[in-house]
Amino acid sequence: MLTCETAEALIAREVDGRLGDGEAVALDAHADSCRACRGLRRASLDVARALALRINAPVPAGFAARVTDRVFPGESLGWIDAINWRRWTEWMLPVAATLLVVTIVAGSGGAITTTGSTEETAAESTAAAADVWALAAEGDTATGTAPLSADVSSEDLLATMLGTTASEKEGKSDGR
Amino acid sequence: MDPDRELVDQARAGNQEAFADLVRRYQVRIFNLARVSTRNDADAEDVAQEIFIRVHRGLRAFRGDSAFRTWLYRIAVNVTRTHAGRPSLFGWFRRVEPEDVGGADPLEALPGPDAVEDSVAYRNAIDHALGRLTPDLRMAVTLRDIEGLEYREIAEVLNVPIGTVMSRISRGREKLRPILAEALGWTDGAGVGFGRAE
Repeated sequence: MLTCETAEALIAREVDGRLGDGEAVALDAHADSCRACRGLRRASLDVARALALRINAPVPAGFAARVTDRVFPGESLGWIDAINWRRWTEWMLPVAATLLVVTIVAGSGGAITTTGSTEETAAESTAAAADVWALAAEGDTATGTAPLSADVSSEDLLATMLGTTASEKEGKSDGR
Repeated sequence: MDPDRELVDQARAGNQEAFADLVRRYQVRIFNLARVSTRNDADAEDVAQEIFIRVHRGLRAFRGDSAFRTWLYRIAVNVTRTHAGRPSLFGWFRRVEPEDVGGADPLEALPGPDAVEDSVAYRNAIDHALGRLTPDLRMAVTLRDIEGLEYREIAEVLNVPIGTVMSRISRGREKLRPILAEALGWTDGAGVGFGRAE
């Protein structure tokens, strides 16, 4: 009489189609009296056959080229990656996120500097900042340190940090 | 004699075309091994690419103690394990969920047995069923019943005794049967295929 351990090995051989006649008889006899091995035998045969019917998924076109492109960068055809939209999206997402952050920061900067003049744009803020540096270069009172030594309000200080003081605004207005 | 030996030697010597030939020779097997674990084509490609890149990196250290195919599968199993359950970067952005199906239980959302007629739906049903197994059982069953490796080679790939391989395959098949029966509409006593006894 077979043990369950031996029966399990014979079931594996049966699934592979390698069971001898004598072994088949012994396995039949064991399975008749052992419910667990009977269930295992049935499951093994059914599942192995079902999985054998699975047709392999086709490999995406250009797969090998993409692998060699990564393994040997710069030595194979780069255009294959250029038409790979998945790679495009991976690279473009962080760029888009960075642009979004920059836009938000620039937008909020413009809102702060306007304080009452909401129509002033971020571009104007940038121009104002450029004026600050231009005045600083002339050695005038509008150096980067001058406002800190003077008696300034916190609002002016904030405006100075953002690159626009009332005086520069006037200067800018004069320039326009 | 390892049938891949010549190509492997050439690839080790820096022959790019030889390496590309190795990729082409094994890409279907490796891609499908990855697909069983990831259950979608996009992630499967990422994993399969990673496997071949690691193969290339390791070629110089490959001494040929085992067949190239065995060594390749060993790397594939390790990479697949590493990726298991780890969402890929930006994977949410480009993942096409079901073929992959919605809901908590993918099998519940599969088409009924009468509607399941093509190989794609059948493959998805099989892959989702395998996905319900623990990684150890899934890999053992996949290597045997989908990849067609011998028990001895599976033992070498997984670095476990052959008895352990047989046990994992038996337990895996036993757990799979009721899952497949439900997914594929097997009537009692009639396994295999879409609700049909064969």
